[in-house]
Amino acid sequence: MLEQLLIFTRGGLILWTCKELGNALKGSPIDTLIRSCLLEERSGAASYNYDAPGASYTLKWTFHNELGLVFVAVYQRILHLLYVDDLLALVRREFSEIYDPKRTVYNDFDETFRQLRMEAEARAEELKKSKQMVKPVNNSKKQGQAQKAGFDKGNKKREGSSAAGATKKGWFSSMFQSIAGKANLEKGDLEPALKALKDRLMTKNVAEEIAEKLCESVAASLEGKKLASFTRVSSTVQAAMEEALVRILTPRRSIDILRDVHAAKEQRKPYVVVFVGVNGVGKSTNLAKVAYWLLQHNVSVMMAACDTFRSGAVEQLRTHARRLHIPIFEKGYEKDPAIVAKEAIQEATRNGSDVVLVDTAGRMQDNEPLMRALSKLIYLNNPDLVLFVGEALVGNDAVDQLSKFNQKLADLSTSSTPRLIDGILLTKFDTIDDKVGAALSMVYISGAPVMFVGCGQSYTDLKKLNVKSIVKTLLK
Amino acid sequence: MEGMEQWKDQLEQLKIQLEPWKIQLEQWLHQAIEYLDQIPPIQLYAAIAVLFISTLLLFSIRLFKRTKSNTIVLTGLSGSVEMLSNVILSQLITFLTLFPCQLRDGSSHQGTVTSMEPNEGTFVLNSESNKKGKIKPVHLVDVPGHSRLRPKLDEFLPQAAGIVFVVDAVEFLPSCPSVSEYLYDILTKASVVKKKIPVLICCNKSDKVTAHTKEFIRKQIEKEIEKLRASRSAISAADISNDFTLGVSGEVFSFTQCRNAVTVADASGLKGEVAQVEQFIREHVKP
Repeated sequence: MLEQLLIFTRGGLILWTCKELGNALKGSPIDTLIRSCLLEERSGAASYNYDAPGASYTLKWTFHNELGLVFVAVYQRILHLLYVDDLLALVRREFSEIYDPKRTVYNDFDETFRQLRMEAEARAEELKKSKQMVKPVNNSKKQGQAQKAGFDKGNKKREGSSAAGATKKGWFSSMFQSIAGKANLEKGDLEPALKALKDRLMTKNVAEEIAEKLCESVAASLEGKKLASFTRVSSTVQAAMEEALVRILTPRRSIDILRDVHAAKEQRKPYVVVFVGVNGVGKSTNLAKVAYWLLQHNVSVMMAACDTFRSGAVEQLRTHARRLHIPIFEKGYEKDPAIVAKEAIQEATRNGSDVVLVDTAGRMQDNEPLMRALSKLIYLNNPDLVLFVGEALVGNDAVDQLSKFNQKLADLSTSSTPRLIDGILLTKFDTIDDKVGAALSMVYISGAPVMFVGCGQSYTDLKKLNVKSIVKTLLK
Repeated sequence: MEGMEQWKDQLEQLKIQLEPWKIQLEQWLHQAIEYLDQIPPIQLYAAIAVLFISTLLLFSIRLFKRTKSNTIVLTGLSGSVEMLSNVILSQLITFLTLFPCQLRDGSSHQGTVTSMEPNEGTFVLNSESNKKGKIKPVHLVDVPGHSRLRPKLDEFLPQAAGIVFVVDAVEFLPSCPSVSEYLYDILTKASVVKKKIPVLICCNKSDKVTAHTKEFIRKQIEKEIEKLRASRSAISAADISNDFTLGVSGEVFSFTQCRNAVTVADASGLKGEVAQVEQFIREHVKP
């Protein structure tokens, strides 16, 4: 059964809920949907799964972009309700007829909804039967039925169904359209512009999967919208994409490490940063850069050499420590890195260091034993910041690296609330010219902000990410 | 190649169609020049001067008017962690204004969810709705505080006459660092500092017993901003950079050091005690 159906504005005001269903939802699936799906540019996806203690819902949604409305249906995950998409489309069509921005109560919609629901349920039932009887024809039958329903409603127009009508038009009519403003954007109008934009993003080294998802999300937010006069479809799409990119790259959490360091200092606790990442991305080098940056701000730093796996790693870190005149905690090789880190933190508490920078061994995301060791290190020491060090050179692999790291940290952790990656440090940023796509891929997939950008060989080559210039480069 | 030829054909046809128009136009032009020759030059100069002065006047009025905007930006943190949802903001708007009427008694209003877009509208203040004479409506913009939507604030700040920064007075302490950081970001924005846009820190839910006083909240935010000043000193490229720095170096920060006026007020959205907020809006949006 359907748990709930809501209609609300993009501004956040609920216009109508189904009182008949009236089940109190467990947790807050709607707010979670908005925060972790719609605002994260994942609205192109088909559905969203929400888990809370005692509840597992699936949510489906559709937009009416011209009026700025959102329609969300919630149902239990174990039930595969076939009619939800259909019902949402019907509700959208009917509701947009009676919508008035000045009105906030729509009690008269109850009756309409009851009818629509019965209609949709009956159709799903019929579909099920016909599926059992003749399997191969069911697809065409479904289409036929959908069309029939459209005609049943008589003179009411059915939106978005004529996407196939994207034909070639003369230059004069297209110019006239750009001056007068087009009635409503349809999927067919958006497709060429989105395809071009996707290709452009991919030449900037954005992972293909992510470029695809972003374009879907932008399409979902534009479909049905009115094109303003004197604008082209491509520039509208570009503006929407720019807004989406700025939104993604804007950090969700505070990236002010220094303030957190000072807060930890007040509690007489060292601030612990763990650097993780795959092999050869520059973990140790950038750890040294961060140490130098902290020293500039009069913060006492200690390094912990927890790369007990690769030969020469401890010596490399020791060289950095000597050059920067900061203490280093080391226990040689063949030790459990989790224990070394724990001892290092104890040592830092004793000698009053403000920050402990923990260097770990580079590991491929598929290396099970090493990933388990990392998970143990993080679980045992509960660091304040888990910094993922990633190369800016990486393309499609960025998605795999970050999602697997996050996945493994969650899976292998023994606690119920696993620590995931808090921030990203992008290295080798000076070598990529305008191919800045890795920054976008990594932030999109993990939701963690880019804390620093490494852009050179010397200790001073550490920067903050400039969101505006990245977005500009991506869309150039 | 075929397309090119087709295009050429079209162009030819267009030219033929336009031919009579062209002749007509030339005739008119000729007539106009003849007419101009008959008018004495002094009259012509006078006409040009009048035209010039009136355009100048119009432009200056435009410029003068633009500085007096009637936009008030409402913002604050949102999210379950910070425990200040947009419900409170919408309640505040409701009590400040007459719109939407149904919302005011709360019975017929269905609740709210997280905002994805700013809400805006032009309203007449509630207390002045039955006053006679000239009333200037206020343009209120409610910008969601969700961190992903913060870039939206930049769109509205250049036209803002004032900013109302809403703080939850009950759940204040756990959210103090993030609230202060958001306020710091607003106070250091170039558009705010240069135009000296006044900021009102509105401590909502003051009717609750457990609510903190506005003086306490002001002091806590000042303390927190003092810490932020230290961490945002911007001595290297790896620091977070803001357009401006706050306060006077070597002194403990207080809001009086800001170039724009920062005041604190109590309010209760639930009970409709928003007199101080109304006063603030009236001060900066003159009727």
